[in-house]
Amino acid sequence: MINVTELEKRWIKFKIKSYIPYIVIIFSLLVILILFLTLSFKDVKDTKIKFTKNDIKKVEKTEEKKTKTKIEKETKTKTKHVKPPKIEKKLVLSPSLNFMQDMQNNTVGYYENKDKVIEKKHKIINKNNTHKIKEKEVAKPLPTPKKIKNSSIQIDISKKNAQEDIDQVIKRFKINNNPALSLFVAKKYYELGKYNKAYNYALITNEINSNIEASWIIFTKSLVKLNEKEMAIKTLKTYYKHSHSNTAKILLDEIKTGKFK
Amino acid sequence: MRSSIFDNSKDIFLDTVNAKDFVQLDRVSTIYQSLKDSVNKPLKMILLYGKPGTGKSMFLTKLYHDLSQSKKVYLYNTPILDESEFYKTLAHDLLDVKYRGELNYTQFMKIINEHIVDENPDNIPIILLDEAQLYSATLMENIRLLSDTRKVKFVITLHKTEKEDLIAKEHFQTRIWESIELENASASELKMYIQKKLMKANCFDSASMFQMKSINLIYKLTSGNYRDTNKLLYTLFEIYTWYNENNPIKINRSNISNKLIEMAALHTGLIND
Ligand SMILES: Nc1ncnc2c1ncn2[C@@H]1O[C@H](COP(=O)(O)OP(=O)(O)O)[C@@H](O)[C@H]1O
Ligand SMILES: [Mg+2]
Repeated sequence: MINVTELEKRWIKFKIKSYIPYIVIIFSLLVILILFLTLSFKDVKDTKIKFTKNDIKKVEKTEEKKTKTKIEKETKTKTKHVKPPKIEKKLVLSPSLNFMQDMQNNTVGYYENKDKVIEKKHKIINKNNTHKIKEKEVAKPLPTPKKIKNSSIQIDISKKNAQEDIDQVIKRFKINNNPALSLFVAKKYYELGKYNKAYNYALITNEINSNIEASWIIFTKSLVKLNEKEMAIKTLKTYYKHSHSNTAKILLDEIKTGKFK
Repeated sequence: MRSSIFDNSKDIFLDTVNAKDFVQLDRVSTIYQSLKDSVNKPLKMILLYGKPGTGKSMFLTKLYHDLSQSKKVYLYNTPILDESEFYKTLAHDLLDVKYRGELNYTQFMKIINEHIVDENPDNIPIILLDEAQLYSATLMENIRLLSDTRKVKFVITLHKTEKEDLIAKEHFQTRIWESIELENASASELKMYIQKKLMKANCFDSASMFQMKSINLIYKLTSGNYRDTNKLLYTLFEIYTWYNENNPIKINRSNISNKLIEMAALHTGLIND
């Protein structure tokens, strides 16, 4: 006769044991999920802070505006005050739009959203502005010194923005490992003159998909810029042997003759 | 004391081989039919092979049972390992020749040639040998030579292991004319097997308790091996019987419990804790 009570105990032990792998899997998934959530939550927080800072600026400006309208009741000076921030906004936007054109893949979604948000705010400001402008007659053209000041801001901001956008793309790349994204980062870093980083991202892209010609090109170009001409030539030769790419051939000749430095 | 449905069901899965317990399953029936056909063909030998517990002994027993109505058939469930003893037993059973002392192959051949003169293939004695992997290579070779005389016909079963696979290939390949492989049941065959077995013994209640969910678990545990399935179900019904007597509220009578299947598997060693 079987000792069923004993067998039941054995069965419970067996059941617990058989659940261990699942428990381990679920637990590790949970840890990953928590990590992921905290990381992405951090991102949200970051962007929120940015937005609120901007908002504060805007609020300050409009308030400044209002008080001035009340006290001075003079149209021209006020419109001058109102207009510069408007231009600044546009300058901020433009590089992002350029990036949008560069991006091909799923990244579009992200940028669409971002732009929409900014556009909305922009519209609100516009409304206020046009309203006030209508009330107090048309604005004067901006004086030249102010314009110069603005363009320097433009450069600064566009650089800052480029880095910001690269960071966003890197984040996306880390999630989906899309070589198009890493290639984009490589190109952007190359454009920004960060050849070390360009080299790294070209290498990463190449590791994911070695058939992307642009990754070879950026890689070798970065090598040249990093004073590694010999290695650049060697690499490009290898690639040319394998692909017979015209672009590679031309670049190879340019590097050899010193046309490309 | 009234015996429960579980107690009755239990005994159905005792590991015994009786022709009357043979269950007709689609694939099994087809193979069995081709085996029966082969016996009637002028083949010299028929080899039945497969892993342990795939029903080879059952096939042979069933074949013996069916053929004994119309033919001279002799079944040897356990191998007679001593060569002289083997010949002496055959001489006695087939030809009613009692021989004293040692009997070797040449002497046995002589007796065969003297006694079997009937050329009608329908009257050839059929010798069924189970567990033939236990016979020595020399005896196997002599069995082969005996077959070549076409005075007797052998149907033998072999466990298929890698080593025997080799025998099946090299030693028998050109000489054996028919080889039939038996395999484990598929999940749906296993369901048929269990239910038919129970219904044959009028255990309709317990037969209907086996849903596909339980069958799949049993299949997972036994890989469809008939012997392992028998062992598992025997223990399963033993456990059911225990609950029925000691703790009847704990069992569900409409479905076989997967917990109890697993308990039975633990007890029979199909799984380890
Ligand atoms: N077709 C069948 N019908 C009923 N029982 C079967 C059938 N095939 C196998 N079995 C059962 O499975 C068990 C193992 O079969 P067996 O013939 O002894 O396997 P083998 O000889 O291949 O090791 C036996 O108890 C037998 O009763
Ligand atoms: Mg057997």
